[in-house]
Amino acid sequence: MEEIYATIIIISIILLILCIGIVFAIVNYKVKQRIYLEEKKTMQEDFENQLMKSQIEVQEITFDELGKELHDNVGQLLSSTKMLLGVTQRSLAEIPETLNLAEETLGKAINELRALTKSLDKEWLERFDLITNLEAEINRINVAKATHINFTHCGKLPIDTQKQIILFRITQEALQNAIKHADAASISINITMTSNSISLKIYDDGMGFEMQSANTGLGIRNMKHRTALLGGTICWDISATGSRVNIQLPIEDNDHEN
Amino acid sequence: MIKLQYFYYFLMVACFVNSLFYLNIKRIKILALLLLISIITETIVEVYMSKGLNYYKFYHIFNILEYSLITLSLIEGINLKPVKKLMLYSIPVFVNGALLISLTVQGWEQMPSMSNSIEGLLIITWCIIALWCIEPNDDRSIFQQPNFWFIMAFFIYFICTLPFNGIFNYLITVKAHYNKTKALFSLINSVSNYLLYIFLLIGFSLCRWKKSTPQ
Repeated sequence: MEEIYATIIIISIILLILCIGIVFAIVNYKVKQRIYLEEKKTMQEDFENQLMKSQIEVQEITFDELGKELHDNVGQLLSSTKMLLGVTQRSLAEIPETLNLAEETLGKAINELRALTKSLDKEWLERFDLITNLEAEINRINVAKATHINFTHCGKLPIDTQKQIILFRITQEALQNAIKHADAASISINITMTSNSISLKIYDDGMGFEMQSANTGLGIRNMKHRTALLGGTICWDISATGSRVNIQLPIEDNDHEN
Repeated sequence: MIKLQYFYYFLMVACFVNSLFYLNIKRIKILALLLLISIITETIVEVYMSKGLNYYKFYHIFNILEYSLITLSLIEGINLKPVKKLMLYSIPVFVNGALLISLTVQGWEQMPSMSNSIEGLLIITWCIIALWCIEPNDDRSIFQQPNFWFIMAFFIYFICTLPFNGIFNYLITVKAHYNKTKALFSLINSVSNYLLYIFLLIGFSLCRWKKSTPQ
């Protein structure tokens, strides 16, 4: 009987050790899996950032090219049309009111086009900071008088030019959503800053818009990607009486050096 | 009455059929070969048994092939080079040792032979190392990894059979225990085989599931 008990005890101890071994193997797997998933996440984020950077670079080049094309081709055509209108005016004894109106409208169109080409020109963006660019953009929209934009800010932002361009494009997209899709009459842009973060809030009195629709979906996704690229967060509060976009960006140590 | 082992023959064939779907995976290709050899061996043994002839020599040869193939399949999941080398070198050493035991020490007519116990000890060791070396490649738990079940199949099988294989030849010599020993050996062998093939089938099912739900 004693031999049987001894055998049972020995087998039990061996089984217990094996069970502990299996448990340790499972724990070891869990630890390896956590490390693997963290590495995978980091790699995925790096990849997305690289992809987004490339997309933005391509987009900026396209904007730049588009701006140049508008300036050189359409701008020249409009200028020569204005010149021809001037010649016609001078040759007429009595200038019709409609011709004056046409020349005035054409002048406005040329000015709008200049402002637009400026906002698309990357070199111009690199020379000026976000605040200056935004002010120019807001002036361009306010001149049309369809929408009024009120802009308050805290001065020059301590982030590099590349980041300012990205933030500018996010703001442009938000303004486009408010004007085109929410049909807003009044927009408010407010930039505030603390020692370690920048807050950009855009309010409008429009009727809101569908975030997942085909018209706005891509723009919203771009805004999210661009904000993520800056390491920040973006959120929307959309209602039938107005929308609110809240962007929070961190200020990193190397940003202060700029 | 149909013998209990006939059911696990069915499971063995099911495992072999399942393995044929994943022959692109080296580990499963080796398992398929092992299962095919098992089916052939069991068929020959059944024929010999029905004629009342001694069939142990087939198991002696099967043990050598079984150890080699299980070790080769376990090597596939191990990422430690020295261990891999050790496992690889253990195959010719075991083959020679087992042949030596069968030819000189115990002969072909005694079963289970000493080489069964050596095989069991070595495979249990390799299984523990292989369990530690399972590398996660998605966020699925270890229980959803086919490799875990393939390793556990051999691990549990040899854990169950090793202690009894070791003392069987002694117990069988005690006349008072002869019948009980034979019955117990048959029972342990059947249960171990059931567990082995059920675990292998779980592994193959997970292969199919992983293939249909990639991450």
